[in-house]
Amino acid sequence: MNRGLTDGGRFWAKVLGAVVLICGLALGGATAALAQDGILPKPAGAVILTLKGNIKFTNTGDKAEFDLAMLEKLKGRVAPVKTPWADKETTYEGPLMSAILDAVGATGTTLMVKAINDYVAEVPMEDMTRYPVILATKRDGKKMTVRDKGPLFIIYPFDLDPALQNEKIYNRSVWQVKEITVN
Amino acid sequence: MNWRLRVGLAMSIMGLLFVSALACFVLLLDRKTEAMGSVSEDMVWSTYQFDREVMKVELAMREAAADPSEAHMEALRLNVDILISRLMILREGQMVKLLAEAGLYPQLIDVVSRADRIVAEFDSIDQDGKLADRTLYLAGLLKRLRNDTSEITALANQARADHISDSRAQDVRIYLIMGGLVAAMMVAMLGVSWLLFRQIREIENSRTNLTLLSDKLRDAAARAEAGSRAKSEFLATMSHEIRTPMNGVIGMTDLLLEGQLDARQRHRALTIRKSAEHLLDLINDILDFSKLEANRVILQESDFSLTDLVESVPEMLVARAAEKDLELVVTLYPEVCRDVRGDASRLRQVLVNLVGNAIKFTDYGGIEVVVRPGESDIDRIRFEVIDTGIGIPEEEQIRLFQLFTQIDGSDTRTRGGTGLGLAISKRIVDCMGGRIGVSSTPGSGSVFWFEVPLPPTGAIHQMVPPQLRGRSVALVSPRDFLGRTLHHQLRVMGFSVDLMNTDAAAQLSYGGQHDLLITDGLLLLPPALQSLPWLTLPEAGAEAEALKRVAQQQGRVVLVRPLTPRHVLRALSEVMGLEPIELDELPRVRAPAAALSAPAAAQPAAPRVLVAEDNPVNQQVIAGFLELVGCDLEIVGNGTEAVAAVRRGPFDVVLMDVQMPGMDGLEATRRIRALGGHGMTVPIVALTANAMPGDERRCLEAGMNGYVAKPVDRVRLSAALRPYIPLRGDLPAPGSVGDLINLSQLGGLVETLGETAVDRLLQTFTKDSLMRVRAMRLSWTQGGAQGGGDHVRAELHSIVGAAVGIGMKRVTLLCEQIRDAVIANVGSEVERLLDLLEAVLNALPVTWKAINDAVASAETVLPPSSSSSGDRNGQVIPLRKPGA
Repeated sequence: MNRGLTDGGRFWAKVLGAVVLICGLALGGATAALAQDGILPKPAGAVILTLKGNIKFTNTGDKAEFDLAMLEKLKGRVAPVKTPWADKETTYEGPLMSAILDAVGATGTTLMVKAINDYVAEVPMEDMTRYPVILATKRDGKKMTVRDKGPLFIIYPFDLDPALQNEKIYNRSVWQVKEITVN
Repeated sequence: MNWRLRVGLAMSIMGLLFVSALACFVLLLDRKTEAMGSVSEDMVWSTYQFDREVMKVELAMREAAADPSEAHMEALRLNVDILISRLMILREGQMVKLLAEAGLYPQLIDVVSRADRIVAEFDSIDQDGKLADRTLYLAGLLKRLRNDTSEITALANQARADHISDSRAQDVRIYLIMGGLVAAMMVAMLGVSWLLFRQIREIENSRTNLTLLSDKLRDAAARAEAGSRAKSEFLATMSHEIRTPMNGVIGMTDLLLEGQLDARQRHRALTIRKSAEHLLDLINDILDFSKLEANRVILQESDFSLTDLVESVPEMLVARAAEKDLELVVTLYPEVCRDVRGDASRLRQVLVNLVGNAIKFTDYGGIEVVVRPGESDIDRIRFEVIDTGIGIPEEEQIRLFQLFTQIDGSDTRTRGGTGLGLAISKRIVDCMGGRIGVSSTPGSGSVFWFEVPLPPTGAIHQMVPPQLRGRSVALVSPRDFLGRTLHHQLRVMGFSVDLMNTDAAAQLSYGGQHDLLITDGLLLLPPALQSLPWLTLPEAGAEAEALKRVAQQQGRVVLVRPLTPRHVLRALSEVMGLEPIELDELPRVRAPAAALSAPAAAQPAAPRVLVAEDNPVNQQVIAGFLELVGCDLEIVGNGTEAVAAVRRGPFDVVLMDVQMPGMDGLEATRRIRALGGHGMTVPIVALTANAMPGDERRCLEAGMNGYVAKPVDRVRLSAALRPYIPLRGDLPAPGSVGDLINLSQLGGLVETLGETAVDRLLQTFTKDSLMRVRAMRLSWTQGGAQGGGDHVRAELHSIVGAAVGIGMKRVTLLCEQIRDAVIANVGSEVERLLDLLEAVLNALPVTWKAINDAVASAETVLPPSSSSSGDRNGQVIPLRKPGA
């Protein structure tokens, strides 16, 4: 927790986030190569995310499994946001949900997002195309543990559109994500 | 409600509306903020989740205690991790704030710290690898913790319920406030609507009022028009009522002037006549005043002698001036003594107005009227009326020419007058394209002046006889005004004048340098002057005495007022032994002295005239005239008598008053025409006081031949009657063409019928009349006076009827003579006259060419109309030369 972060620091963090975002966008072309020829590589490390349901590319049976490294290869963004779950503005960083869904060739309307404690929230697919929603892997530059609501946390771009700060979106902001089913 | 109040009301309503709207907005915004504040993780959910995770960890622990496998241990660790993540939610973020607000902070701190301790203990036990042994112990701790988490969940739920109900209560409050505000807005809207409604109603009202007003105005205009019509009728009636007695005055004066009068009587009679004429003019002016008001003065321009006009004004006013012992002196510059073109009547009106006013407002001294060429324009003539009166303060001078204004309202009673005079004068002068003004110094008199364009139409009259020109006059006057003004007057006429006061005159020992002497009053003068021809101006009112005294003295003449150039020149001529200058400048009525003195028997039979007139004065006036011109009269007083008179016997002409009691002239005329025979042909001339357009038409439509407007005077009467009857005094010399035929009448016939028709008419007349002559001769020779007389007279009557109609004068005359001879039963005379008549009739066609030539020399006539031609056209038209 960067409680000592000054306003100036926060500003520079925003700038940094923007730079990272731009870099991330620039790298998009390269990361798109993750699902080469419709074949999703097998996860090398511990699986932290599983996608199933209406997806085109899989790597384990009818599922697509991701380890952290795979996720970090995808196009992402840095989102300095203020959430009801923290006192301070927090910078989340991770792959874009749309990038993950593209990587698995997901088609559908609804995502059933399941947390580690088996909490399930329903998130419209449309949100992912409308907003640069990320599946955060890092908070304030550090990996998130389960205790820190990690390892994966759906973060809407509250920084870009304050209108997103409402209960509906908060309920879609699922933490400790472990599985997404595309319907 | 006045507009200020209404604007205030509207403003407050708008203010209320605005404030309400603003308040509603603020409330809604506040509520929104509140809603935003509540946008947070539900604390009940969070505490419940926490409670659930605690339970799950406890469950996992108990499972691990029962079966301490690695899988159970891992599951337990994951559950603990999740619990920790939940714990963090309760430690930071909005949830803490919410729980604190709900008053659950102590419980929260307690639960969180206890959970922290349990987790810390779990971590240390796990690190020590003694987890499997201590799970039951930890489960016991968690079970106790769960009691508290359950409680905090219940409390949070309670707090949320409280919050919801508070919020609902607040909502209710806000809704109430908003309801109030909306009500206020509605009230404001109602107020605005009410104001709008009022506005619309008032607009509607004012439109209705406007309509009503315009109706009222239309009514008022109609009433005003009716009033104006009534006024016109009133004025017409009044003018008629005044004109009738004026006829008497003028007519009687004319008769008086016909008689034997000495110069003074003549002068007085003329003054009566002139004053009466002016009175008539005034009546006309009153009639014109309505036109003046409507700003449409119609100028009647004619050529007139400016000298005569100016001279006539003081004549009318001299009596009034004399009453106040004021002198009236007229100074005429020689350049203006000429004929000019303009409206004489209006000009006189203005002059009389100004001089009359001057007399009214002057108590000492006198009034000088100066007429001279205009200052800038040669065609303009400047009239100045200079008085020695009370004068007018400068600030009053501007108002003077406005309506109903006198210099001092309080003075009206003492000075009299309507106050209309100057306003009328200004209008008239404006209409003439002139200017009018006044200059005055209070206490020393005023000069009222006007300048109007009066283009000259004739040469300058030489007023001063050659023998008098340049003579030297000694003028002695103790009075400043008279001396000064008379000096001015004489000097302007070219005399050399020495003005001196009485003392200076007394010093004079030698009068040789002067040709004559004028004194103001009967002064005692040194002998040197007494030898001069001496003109005396007696005191006003002492003229008679002066005349008596002066009459015995050789070389002394009395100066007669008013002191106009003519009067002064006449007196000067007299005292210098020259021919007296004629004062009478009226249109000269040639007194038929010879006719009057000639024996009546030598004249042809007198024309018979029927006069139908109800007014005895007019009867006398007309009778006086007609007798003078040798007419035989019958006078009746109304229409019925007139019809009866015509039925009784033939008349050569009927003079018919239009307005008579009982049957009026128009009806009488219609009845006469309906009688047939003589009644159809006898010329009827209307007499009317209504000088209104349309009267003439009505007269002619009734069957009248001509029209004379009252006041009747000799000239008009003669002009109207001459076409129908021979008037003594203008009978042509025997033997001339005019003796044979009334040229004017025949000329009129030619004008209306055409030459060929008249030619035929004459032939028919000649043939018819010759037959009648033969018939008469037969009757006369066979029956004599007893048997044939009536037949002869009937035949004669027929011939006369026709002859009069076509102006056969000589034939008419002869017929009258034959009739007289028949009545007298002088057979030889009857035969002689019948022969003569036959000869005349035979000569008619032969002399037609001569007649034509004679007609060609005639100038203008009143054409006879209906009786002979059947054409009811009574217009005065110039006669064109036949064949021209």
